[in-house]
Order: sequence, then C-alpha cells, then structure tokens
Amino acid sequence: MMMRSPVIRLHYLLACLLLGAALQAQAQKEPPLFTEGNRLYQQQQYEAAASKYQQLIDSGYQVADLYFNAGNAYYKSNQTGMAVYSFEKALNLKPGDEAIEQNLALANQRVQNNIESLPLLFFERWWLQWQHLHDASGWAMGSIVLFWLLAAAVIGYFFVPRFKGQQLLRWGMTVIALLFIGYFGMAIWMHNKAYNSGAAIVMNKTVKVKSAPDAGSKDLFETKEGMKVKILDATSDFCKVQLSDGKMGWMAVGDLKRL
Amino acid sequence: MKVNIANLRKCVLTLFILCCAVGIAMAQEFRFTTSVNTNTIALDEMVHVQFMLENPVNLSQFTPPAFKGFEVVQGPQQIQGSSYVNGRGTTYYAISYVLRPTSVGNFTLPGATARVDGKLVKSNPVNIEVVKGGAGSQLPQQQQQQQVQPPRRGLPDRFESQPGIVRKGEDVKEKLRKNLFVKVAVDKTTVYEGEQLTATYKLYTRLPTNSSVTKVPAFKGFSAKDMELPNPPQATEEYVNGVPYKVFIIRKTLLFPLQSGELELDPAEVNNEVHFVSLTRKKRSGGANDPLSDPFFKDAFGGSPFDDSFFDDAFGAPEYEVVPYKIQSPVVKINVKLLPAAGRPASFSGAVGKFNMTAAVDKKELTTDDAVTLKVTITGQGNVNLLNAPPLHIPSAFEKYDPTVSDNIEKNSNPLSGSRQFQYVLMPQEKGDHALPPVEFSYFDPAANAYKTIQSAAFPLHVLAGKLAKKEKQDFGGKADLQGIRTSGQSWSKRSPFFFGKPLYWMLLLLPLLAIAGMAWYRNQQLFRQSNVAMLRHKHANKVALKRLELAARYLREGKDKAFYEETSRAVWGYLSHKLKIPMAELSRHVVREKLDAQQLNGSNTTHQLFDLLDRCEMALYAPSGSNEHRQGAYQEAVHVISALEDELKGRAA
Repeated sequence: MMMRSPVIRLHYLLACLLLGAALQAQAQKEPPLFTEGNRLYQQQQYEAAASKYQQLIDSGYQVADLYFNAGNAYYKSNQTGMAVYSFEKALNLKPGDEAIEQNLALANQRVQNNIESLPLLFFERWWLQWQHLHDASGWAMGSIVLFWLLAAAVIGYFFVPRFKGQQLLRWGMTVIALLFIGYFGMAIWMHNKAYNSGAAIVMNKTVKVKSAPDAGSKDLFETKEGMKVKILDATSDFCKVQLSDGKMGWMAVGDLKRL
Repeated sequence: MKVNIANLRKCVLTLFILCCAVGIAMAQEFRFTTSVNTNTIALDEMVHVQFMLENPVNLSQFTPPAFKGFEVVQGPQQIQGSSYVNGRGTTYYAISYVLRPTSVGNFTLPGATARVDGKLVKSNPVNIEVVKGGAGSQLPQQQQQQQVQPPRRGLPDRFESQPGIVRKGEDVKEKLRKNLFVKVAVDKTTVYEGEQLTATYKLYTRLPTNSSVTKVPAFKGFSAKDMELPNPPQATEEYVNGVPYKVFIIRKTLLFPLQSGELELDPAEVNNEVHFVSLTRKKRSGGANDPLSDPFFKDAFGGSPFDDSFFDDAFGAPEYEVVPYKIQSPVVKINVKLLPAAGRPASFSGAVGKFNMTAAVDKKELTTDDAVTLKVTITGQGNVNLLNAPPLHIPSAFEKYDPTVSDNIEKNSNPLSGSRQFQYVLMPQEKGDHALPPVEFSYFDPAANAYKTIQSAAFPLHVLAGKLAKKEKQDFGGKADLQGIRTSGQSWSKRSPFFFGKPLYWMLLLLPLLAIAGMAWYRNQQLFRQSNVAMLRHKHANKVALKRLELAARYLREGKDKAFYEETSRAVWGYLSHKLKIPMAELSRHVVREKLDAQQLNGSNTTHQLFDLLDRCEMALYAPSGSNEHRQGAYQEAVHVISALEDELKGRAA
C-alpha cells in the first residue's frame, strides 16, 4: 500500500504531459497564408508566393516544409541567395530530408561557385556518417530511452535484492550510461547545429571581401550570391568569414544573412 | 581603343644626307616633269628651270610654256642621254632654261607640253616666289657647269642648289621651314566604321640632318597595325612644287576606326639636328689678292671649275654648324561614318572588308566519348585582326566550349589581308543523328556599300553511344528536377520542431530520476522502520502490558482464576521481554536478572517485588488456592511493579 502511491503519481503525471503535448499538436492548424502561397506557386506567380511564405516565416513559424516551399519559390524567381538560405534552414530543421537536399544542391549549382571545398579528412567523414545515423528527434528519443533503461538498471542494481551487486548488471549499466552520454551529446549537437551553426549566406550579387574590418581596406577576393560562409568573428559592422576553401576575410554585416 | 603600339618601337632614323643625289632605280615608264632649283629667288637672282622627259617614245614636239614675269637668260639647252642602273636602261631628254625675274611677286610657271607617241602630254606647273634682292648669285652659272658634265649617278642631277649651305644673308629658319617638314598622307578621309585607311607619316628633307622621332601618334579611336619599314630607312625622291626632296617614311600604319564621328590622327614629332655649312664670304674677301675672287677673272674663265662650292669651302674656311630643329606633322581629321543600319543581318558582328568563309567538321561519325571540331575560317581583306567569332547555334545535345582563335595575317599586306580561324570543340551528350546548323557570317563591303552574308552547309553528325558519358548524364538527369512544394502534413508551430529542448523532453528525462529518487526514499524508509521495531516495542511495552492487565482484570471480575494468573504472568513477562529487548524464547529469570543488573536495577525494591510477583503467579497457576483478596492483591502488585519498572527504566534511560 505504501509502495504503490508514488508510482501511481508518476504515471498520472506522465499521462498528463503526453495528453498536453498531443493537444498542443492538434491545436495548430495550417495558416491561410500558407494555402495562399501554395496556390500562387501553382499559378507560377513565384515572387508573390515567396512573399507569402516569407510573411509566415517572419511571423515566427519554424516549419521545415514552409522553408522548403519558400526556397522553391525563391529558386523559381531567381533569388539564389534567398533560395539557398531557405533550403539550408529547412535542412537544419529537418536534417537528412532527401528532397530538401536535392533542391539545395540545385540552388547551389546556380551559385557561381568557382571555389573548391577542402576535402574532408577521414574522421570528419566518420563524424558526418555518425551524425546521419539518426535524425535529430531520433537522437533525442534514443537518449530518453537509454536514460530510462539506465534508471531501471540503477534501480535494479541498488534496490532489488535479487540483482543487488551483480557484476553483469554493473557492466550493462556502464555501457548504457556511455551510450546515453553519446546520444544526449548528439541531441545537443544537432540542436545547436540548427540554431547556432555560425554559418551565413551571402545575399548580394557580388561582394568584395576585405582584408580588415574597414570599407577602405584592400580587396582580397570576391564572393557570389548564395555562397555559404562560416562566421569566425564579428564587429557591429563587419564579420570575419571563412570560405569552404579556407580563405578568410572581412565582409559587411549587411551582405550576409545568418542561418 | 586598340592601338597597336607593339610595332611602334621607337624608331630612330639616322639620316645623314649627302649633298649628292641618291639615284633611284626607275621603272621604264614615261615621266614628264618640271623642276626648278629653288622656289624662292631674289629679284637679282636667276632660276634654273628644267623640263625632263624620261623614257620618251617618239618625241615629236616640245613646246615650252610662256615664262610670264621672267626673261630667258639662257636656253633652251638640250641634254640627251641614257643610263643603266641595276640592269635597267633609261633614256632621258632634258630641256633647261635660265630665267631672270622681272618683278617681285608670286609666279606660276605652267607646264610644258610635248607630243609623245602621238599623245599630247603636259608637265607639272611650278610656283616661284620672287622677293626683293639680296646678294648676287652665280648659281645658274654653276649649274650650267654641272649640267654640261655627264650626270654623276645614272640620272642627271636635278639642280643641286645646295640648301645645306648657308650663304650670307640667308635666313636659317626660313631655310629649315622650306626644306625640312613632315607630312601625313592618308589614302581616304571619309571611311566607314571598321573600314581600313592607311596613314603614312613622311619626312621630307633637302638638308643633311640627323633625325629621330620623339613622339609617335597614339591613334585614339583606331585599331592600328603598323607596317614594317626597311631598316636602315631608305630614301625615295619626291617632287614638291617641282623641287626634289628626299623622303623618308617614318611610319606607315593601317588604321581601323573603332567608333564613328570625327577622329584625329595625332601629330608625330621629329627632332632634327641639321648640319649647315656657313659660308662666310668675308674671309675670302679678306684675302683680296686672291685672283679667283676677282669677278673679272671669273668672267674670263667663264666659270672655272674652281668656282665650285667645294672650292669655296676649301678656301673660304667654311664653318660647320649644327642647328636643332623640331617639327610636328599636321593633325589630320578623319570622318568616320556609322555603318548603315538598314539591311544589317543578325549575324553581323563588325567585319568590314571583303571576305570569304569556309566551315568544316573533322568527323561525321563519332561516339559520345569523342569530341568533334568545327573549324570556321574567314579569309579576305579588311579588319581581319578584329573579327569576332560568328554566332553558332549549337543544339543542346552538344556541349560547346569557347573557340580557339588562330590568325594568319599576311605580313605587310595593304590592305590588310589574311585569315582568322575559329576552332570550336563540341562534345555530344546524346546518341542519335544530330545536325549542326549552318554557320553564317556577315560582313559589310564598303566598295559595294552593302552587307553580304555567307552561309555554309549544315553538318549532319551520327553519334553512337559511348561508354562513359551516358551514365553520368542519366544520373544528372534524375537529379536535375526541382522537387515540388509540399502542401500539407506538417505540424504548425512557432516553436522549435526539435524534440530536444522541449519541456516534454526534459520531463521525460526527469522521470527516471524521480523514479530513482522515489525508490531510494522508499528503501530508506523501509530500512529505518526495520531497524526501529525493537525500539517501538520498548516504547509500547507499558501500553501492551497494561492492556493485558486490563484483560486480567476482566478475568478477575469473572472469577476465572487460572486465566487471570496466566494473563498477569504473560503481561509481566511480555513487558520484560519488550522492555529489556529479550526475545521470548530466551526469556528466563536468569536472563532478566542479568539484564536488570546491566541496567543497575538489581537489588532494588522493585526487583524484589517483581520476582515476588512472578513467584506468586506461578504458585497460583500450579496450586490454585487463595482468596479473591489475594488475587486482587496480585493484580495491584502487577500494576505497581510494571509502573515502577517503567519509571525506573525511563529514569535510567534519561
């Protein structure tokens, strides 16, 4: 009688949480602007469609498919910079989506990109493969399942007299704990990648990259609209950027849009 | 603005002109010229006029012009002869006069007429300016002397008036201006955009001079192509106003206007160092005894050979003088017309001239792994060096690369002629029968004042499937389409779609921790309780005993002796067991005594009473006797003993 009451309480709490989440998901309906944007897109009024999608994005929706559609509309209306930005954003929200990856590749073909990316080292390739083992929510779910398993093992090991102090269980616990740390870390990484990637897309047709954060300094090289750069440092007016081939320089903040 | 400066090496002409004539090899053509030894004479000077017929055929009649403003001092004097230079024979027939002006002014001697081979020909007119007199001159006489002698170099000397000698009273500047200048000869002054014109910069001189070109024209607005000039420069002879000049070509350039409007040919600048010989007669007249200086003597000899300027120099102690003189060519204006807009073909891309085009492919049958080369060759005269590649409409089945251009322009051709070849490399992407469309080339023909278009035939190509290229193409084809938009099936949320970081995630992560914590708490509680059962019993011993005694009291009222004693005994023993933490099985007087000893209660009054009571209860159990009072006393005693023990033990514990 005394043992049952906390467990019941936990179950009750869990049920409430799940119900709440389900209700929340149900409550959000497709906004009319999205339907309108889709209609305009199908009527081949790509610029108008893009502006509808952009309104939704500006109002704060974080939906991969919304970004995807916006990217398509931008692509069709020849706004390469915005197209690449939208596809990148969509891919961040839904990593590993094949359609998004394909359209992003198409948009990148439009970028007059004559720089060669540095080849990946073997561990970078492994790291990339490891990232693609699960999608973002997969890592998060995995971390929860593993944590529950770990908790069960801990309870068994410490509180159940039958398993108390068993060598096998201790090993199992260690393995699960390590796996949990891995999954949890990956979940954090994926989340971080989507929101603080430190990357940006060049928005203007041709932008000169300077040698110092000053408009009068020497031009180092040129970037084209739609190019993805990594932001290393920033002042209020200039960002220090790195290209995929490793070249570095300073660009005006207005020429970039952060992912 | 493509100005061909490459050929414009700073050419330094070093000309040192001797006073003697340079003989020129002439073709065996007829020439009829008038020449004078000088264009400017003083009123008291004389001028020598010569009419020269070269290679005349059947000369039947010669009529000198009317020498208006002059009177004939001498002549006509006829010289006839022939010469061989470089194997070429030349015959000449010269009639000369010595004239004296009668008044000051500008005079034009009209040309003489002659009948040659039945036709009437006329020589060029000559301008002569007569100014007011200076020092007398024996020039004509000197010339006479020379004329009598056979010509020194093939052709007769034409009046070497020796402009390199500065005589007294002669103005050096005027002399320079008259005898040394640069002219620009342009073959046409009105051209179409892109049409060729030839500009020749010539240095005319009759003076011995060292000349160097210091500034070359830049030809703004033209594409220029320099002609190669002989090095060292060779002089030609040209008559200007009847006076022969040595002519050196400084620069000869083919020009192609790049824009329409009025364009200027910039001047060329030439620095000269003119070598003059100053004759100062003073010195000669200083030696007054010199018989040669006596005019009488001179007259008597009728102009001796000593009267030559050479001797003047030798005896007259001539002074050499180098005079720097900078000259500029005049600016020439060229009017460039726009090409007519009417009838301009779509394929026109600026070619002006007369061209021909051929196009050919190197193979007719190939695989998708191969490449085919299309060669387009444009040959002709015009702006060959500026030709653009003709527009090609290559079907999408081919990948096209930028053409490679090779030129083959004839050296020193005028008009510029040659060929330009465009090589297109085409990579077929799909198998099947394709046709390259015909190549079209248009140009403007300024001679005909019209556009002309040349078209080649189409090139059918049979493309077979190759091994490599096809697969890539297919792969790419699958990927080339944009994936369509998505219309539904998403959850609309302004929050992050990531499960990670949501409250639910953290809740789910917290749950096992709560479970563990709950387990731990529960376990702790259990352990605590287990360890405190004895203590509870100890705590509740009094209560339990009293309860039992209550039961015993009921038995007492009911008169159940045995049950009463049993219950009283059990109460006391139970109390001891709980209070002293002795298990029931081990309970005995001995153990109780030991425990009470340990509590330092042994020997006290309470202990005695306790054991008395136990004894009485046992006795009563086995020998049931005694009165009700007795039983009442036992009950009272039990209550008393237990309370007393409780008090004492509590006091000890406290």
